[in-house]
Amino acid sequence: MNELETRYQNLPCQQSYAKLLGILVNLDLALLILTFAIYSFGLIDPLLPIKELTAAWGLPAGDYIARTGGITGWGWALKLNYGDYIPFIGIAFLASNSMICYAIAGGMTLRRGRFVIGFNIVLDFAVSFLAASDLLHNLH
Amino acid sequence: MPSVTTGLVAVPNIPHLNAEPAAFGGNLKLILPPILGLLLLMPQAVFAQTDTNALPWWGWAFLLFLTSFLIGIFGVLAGIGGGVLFVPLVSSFFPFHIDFVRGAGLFIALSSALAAAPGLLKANLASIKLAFPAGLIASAFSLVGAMLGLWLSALNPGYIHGSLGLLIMIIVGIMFFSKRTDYPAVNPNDKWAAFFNIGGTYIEGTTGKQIQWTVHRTLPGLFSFSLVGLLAGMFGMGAGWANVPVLNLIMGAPVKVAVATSGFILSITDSAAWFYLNKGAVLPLVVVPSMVGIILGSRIGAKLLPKVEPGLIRMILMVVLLLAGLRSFVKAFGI
Repeated sequence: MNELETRYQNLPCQQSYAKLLGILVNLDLALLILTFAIYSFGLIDPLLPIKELTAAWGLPAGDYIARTGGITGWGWALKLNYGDYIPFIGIAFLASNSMICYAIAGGMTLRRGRFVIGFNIVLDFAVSFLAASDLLHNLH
Repeated sequence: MPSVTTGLVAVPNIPHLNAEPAAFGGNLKLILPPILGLLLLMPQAVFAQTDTNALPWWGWAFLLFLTSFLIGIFGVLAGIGGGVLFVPLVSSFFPFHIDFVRGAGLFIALSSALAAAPGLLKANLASIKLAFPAGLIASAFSLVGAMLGLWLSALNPGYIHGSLGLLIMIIVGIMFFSKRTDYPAVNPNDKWAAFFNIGGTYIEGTTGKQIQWTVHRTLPGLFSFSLVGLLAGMFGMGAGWANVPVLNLIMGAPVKVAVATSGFILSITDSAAWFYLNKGAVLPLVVVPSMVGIILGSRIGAKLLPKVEPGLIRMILMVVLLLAGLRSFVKAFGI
């Protein structure tokens, strides 16, 4: 098979990627609705009363954090006993969807010897991981 | 007939990717009055001030859900991404600081792209081989854009409002004047397309024919994604309005592949969303009603799609965008 013919072939991992992402997206929607319901119906007390939140949501993010004692980075994961931090589970899970899929697709392509696209997916994973890691926030 | 998922529902043959317009239908009569009402109210709203105390918190959350729901419906009908409508409208007419609106806009763009991606990939319209090199560059530069955007709005939010207003007006211009090419003529000897092995095959739904495609001008095309990523991160918008012309007009991907792959690229450009989340610029009270609203709205939009004239809806939304852009621009001067 010449180079042009392989170029016209779709990657086999594309279908696996689609199936996995389809499952993750349904989980996202369920998690978002469930965690937001816990917060908005007050099933677990929030750390920041909603009245104080609405008084500060017109401020820039940095001023909002300073005024409300808000948490940056992954600090929310340590505050899951408060209702206002529970929705972050759904939000962070949704943002992680692609990284989960990268890991599967990257592994599949590298195992099949497709090193250019495989390395590309690894780099995509690295950029997302860097962004998620909060290292850049500390640099900024 | 192949089917794909748009906003978590199966849509036969991805109608908004079809070159042929759908028939003018009765449902439009139901849709037009609220849109026209909105248009009549918007000039007043351009100069209106938003007051947090005008509504209780749940009122704002409900209004946000409703707005995102409508954006979801009309965004699908017009083939315009949700983020590009959400940021100018919500930053202009809601009391939240633009940092939180941009954070929500990035998550809206991400969630609607994630919802649509599985179907587009299964139909082989979105291509991993085309999306990952472009997405890598867009994702890295969206991080730079996110840093720049938050830094500028900390200096003076007016800088962001003003440049967002200008950008929105430019986007409307691009949407109005750009012409798409169904099957651009492509030189298959592009060495970078060969290096990245960019190409694929899909079945054209309207004819049942197998279409093989590749791209050219790969290097300038991929470099264009640095600007696309920068703007997306800076203003918190999805960048479908820019992705499609780059993929279709510069790189020569067929229009259906360009539209579908553009959506998939948005789903892998998640870095800026993480950055906003880590900076504390994501409020669940703003983000979650918006994401749920846009996903549910996209489902309704996808059902209405075969029955309405997308060209007319697109034109109306361009007017709405233009007014929102004007409002954003005016807000930069504290009016």
